[in-house]
Amino acid sequence: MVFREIMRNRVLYSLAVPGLLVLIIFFYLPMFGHVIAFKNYNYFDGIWGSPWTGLDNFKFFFGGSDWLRVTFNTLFLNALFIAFGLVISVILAIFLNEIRQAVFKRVAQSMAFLPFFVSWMVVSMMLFSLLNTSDGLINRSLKELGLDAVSWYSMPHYWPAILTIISVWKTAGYQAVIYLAAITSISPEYYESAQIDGATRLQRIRHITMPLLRPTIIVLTLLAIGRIFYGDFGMIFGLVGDNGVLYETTDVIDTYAYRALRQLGNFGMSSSIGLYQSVLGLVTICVFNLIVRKIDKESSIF
Amino acid sequence: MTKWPKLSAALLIIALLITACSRNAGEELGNGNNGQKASTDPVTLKIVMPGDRPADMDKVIAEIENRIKGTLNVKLDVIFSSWSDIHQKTQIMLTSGEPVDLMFEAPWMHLDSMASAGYYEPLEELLDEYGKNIVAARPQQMWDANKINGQVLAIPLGNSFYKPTTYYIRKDLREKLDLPPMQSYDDIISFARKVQQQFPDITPMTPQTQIPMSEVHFRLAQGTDVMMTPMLTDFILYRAPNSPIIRNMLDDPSPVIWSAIENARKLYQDKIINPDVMAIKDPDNWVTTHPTAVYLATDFGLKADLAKKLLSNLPGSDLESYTLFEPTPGKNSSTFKQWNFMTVPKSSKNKKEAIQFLDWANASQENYDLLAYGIKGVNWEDTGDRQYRMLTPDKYPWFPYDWIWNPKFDRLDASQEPSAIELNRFIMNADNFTVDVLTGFNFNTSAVQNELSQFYALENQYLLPIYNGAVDLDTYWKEFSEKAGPAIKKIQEEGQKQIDDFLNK
Repeated sequence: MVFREIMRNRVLYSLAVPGLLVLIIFFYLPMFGHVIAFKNYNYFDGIWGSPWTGLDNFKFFFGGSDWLRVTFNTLFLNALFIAFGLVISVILAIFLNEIRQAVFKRVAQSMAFLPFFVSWMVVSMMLFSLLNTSDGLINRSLKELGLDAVSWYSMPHYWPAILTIISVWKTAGYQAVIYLAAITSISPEYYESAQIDGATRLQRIRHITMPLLRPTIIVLTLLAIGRIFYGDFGMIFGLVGDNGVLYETTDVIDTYAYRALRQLGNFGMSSSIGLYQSVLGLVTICVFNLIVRKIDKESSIF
Repeated sequence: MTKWPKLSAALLIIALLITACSRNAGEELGNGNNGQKASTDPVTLKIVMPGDRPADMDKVIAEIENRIKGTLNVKLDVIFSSWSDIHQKTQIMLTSGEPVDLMFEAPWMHLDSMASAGYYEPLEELLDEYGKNIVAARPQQMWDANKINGQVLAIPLGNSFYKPTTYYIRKDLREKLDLPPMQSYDDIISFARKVQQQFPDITPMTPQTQIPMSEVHFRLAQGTDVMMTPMLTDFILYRAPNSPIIRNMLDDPSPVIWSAIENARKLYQDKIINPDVMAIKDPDNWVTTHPTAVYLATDFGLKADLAKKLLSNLPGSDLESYTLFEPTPGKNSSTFKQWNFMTVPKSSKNKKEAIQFLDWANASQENYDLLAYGIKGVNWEDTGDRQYRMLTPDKYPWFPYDWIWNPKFDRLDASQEPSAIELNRFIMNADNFTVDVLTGFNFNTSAVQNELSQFYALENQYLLPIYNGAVDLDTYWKEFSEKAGPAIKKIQEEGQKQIDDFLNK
C-alpha cells in the first residue's frame, strides 16, 4: 500500500529526500553520539572502541551542589523569556496588524525586527554603556536626579529582569512577524461580518484574532518549551561573560559546562551534559504536549 | 513486505556512515623511510602551521629553495591553517595518515595525547645524525624539560624561559605628582592613591576579568616567594620557590597570598581598583576612552600598538613600564617549558629531509633570519646588536614561533625601550635561571578530571572576583572553601603523589 502510494507520487516524494537526508545525518545519526556520555572517549579508539565508564562522566556535574542551581536558572530564565516573549510579540503583532497606513506599518515592522540581527557581543557593549558605573547612561541619569548610582554589574538579583528585557527586545519583533503572518491569513470576511454586527475593534481582536491565532501560539510555545533546558549560551556568555559575581542568578547549564570543561576538552563529560539537557527537554515537551491535548486536541504537536 | 528493501538500504547507509566516522585511526600510519624516491627528484616537504599565509611567503620560499640548492634537494609546500582550525585540521591529518613532513604542535593543542598515541616520530636518532644544528641552537635545559615520556618527540620552539608581565604607568601623571619612577609594588599603590586624590576623573588602576590579569595573581606572579603549581595555575595551590611540596591555601594559608587578597579587597573598596573591573569585556579598548593611571599587560616594556592605543585619546600623556621581575642571575627559577613545537609525523615519507631542512634553517644567523623575518632589506632591516626592525609587517608578519624560534639566533624588536630589550635578553639566557625541581614534570589530569572540572566551574565564580577584590571576602571565601575545598584537596593529593613518583624515578 505504502509502496504503491510512493511509486505513484515518486516525483513529489523525491522532493522530500534532501530534507530527510539532512534530518538523518544531522539530527538522527548524532543521537548515537550520546553513547559518548557513558564512555571515556579518546580519538584513537573512536566512538565505539573507547572504554565504557558507566556513569562516571556525570559525576562532575551531579557530584557538586551547583547542578540544581544552574538547572533552576536555565528553567527560570527560559520560562521568563518564553512567557514575556510570547505576550509582547503577540501584542506587537496585533498592533502592527491594526496599523492602516501601509508605509508606517512597514517601517514599524522593520524597526521591531531590527534588534534580531544585532549580535550578542554588540548587545553586550550597548548594555555595558548603559549600565556601567563610571559613565553609564542609567547611572548618570540617576545621579542627575540626585539618586545613588547602582552597581548593576555586582547585583545578581537584578539580572533575570535585565536579561528578560533584552531577550524580549531582541526577539519579539522576529516572533511578531510569524504571528503577523498567521493573522493576515485569517479571512477578512470574519472581520467584515463582525463589523456589520457592530463589533468594536477590541471585540474583533478578542473574539476573532485571538482564537484563530491560538494554534500558532501553541505550536511555537511548545517548540520553545522543548528547548527550555538549553540556555542561550551566546546570550548569557555575551552579556555576563566572566563576571562571576552574577553567576548566582545567570549561570545556566551551558555556561556552567563551558567553564567546567573548556580547559579539559573531555568529550564524555560534555556529552553527559548534552544528554541531560536532551532527556529533560524530551520529558518537558511530552508533558506540555499532554496538557495541550487535554485542553485542545487539534493544537498538540503529536 | 515492500518495506524491507528500503529499511535495509537505510540501515546500510547508516552503518556505512558510522563506520566512516569512527574508522580506527592507527591503521594507516606510515612506516618510515621506505617510500623514498630516487635521489635525483627533488623531495617536496609538506609543512603545516597555524596562521594566515603571508603575502610574501612565496618569495621567501623561492629564496630558501634558491639558497639550499646544491646542499639539499628539497622543495617546500608550506600550508597555513587558521588559528581556529589548526587544532582540528592537524588532528584529522594525523588520524587519517596524511603524509605531512613537519607539523606544528603545542601543549594547548594535542601534543601530549597525539605523542603518547604514537603519531610522532621519536627524534633522537634523526637529530643525532642530521640535526646537530637544531640541537645546538637550543640550550640543553630546553631539551631536557620538554621531553614527552622520556623521549624527544617534538622540537621545542621558543626564545625565553620566563613569562614576563609589566605594569603600564602614566608617566605624565607621575611627573605632575612629583613622584620618582616606580621601585616597588608599594610605589605603584601610593601613586594610584595620589592619582585618585588629584585627578578624580582618572581610574587609578584597571586589572582584568581573567585570573592571570587579576590584581592578586598579577602581583604574586613575579617577585614574590610563592610559586604556582603544575596542577592549578592560580595561587590556591602554591609552593615555595623550587620546592616540590604542594601547599593548599584552604588548610595551610600562605600569609603572602592572603595579604595580597586582603589588599585587593581594600583597593576595590577604596575605589582604587576600577569599580567595573568584573564587567569590562575588552579592557584594551575600554581604557582608550576611560583613562587609567595603572594598567597591566604581558611581556616586558611597552607594546607599541597597545601603548599607542592607550594614549590615542589623551594628547600630552605618556607611558612608562615597570616590572616586578628582578633580573638577577640565579634568583629566579624556570621549568624551561615551551609552548610551541615542531614535530615529524610518523606518516611522513621524508623524515630525513625534513630534519635536514630544519637543520639548515637552524645552522646560521642568515638562514634563521630568512625564515623568521623574511628577505633582508625588503621585509626587515638589521639594526645591529641582534635586533631588527620590520619594514613590511603586513607582507611578512612575525611568526618564527611557527617553525624555527630559538634563543640562539632570535633577534629582538628594535622598537622596544632599551630597558625592555635588556630584560628580554636576560630571559633568553637559560643559565640565568636555576633549574626548577619540577623541570620536566607533567601533570597527568586523567585521575582528577571530575575535580578539575568542578574547580574550573567555581574558579571564575569565586576566585576571580576575590582576586579583584570585587566581593565580600568573608562570605565568598567561606562559600568557595565549602564548595571547592574537597576538589582542591584531591587535586593537591594527586599532584603531590605524581610529583613524588617523578622525583623518585
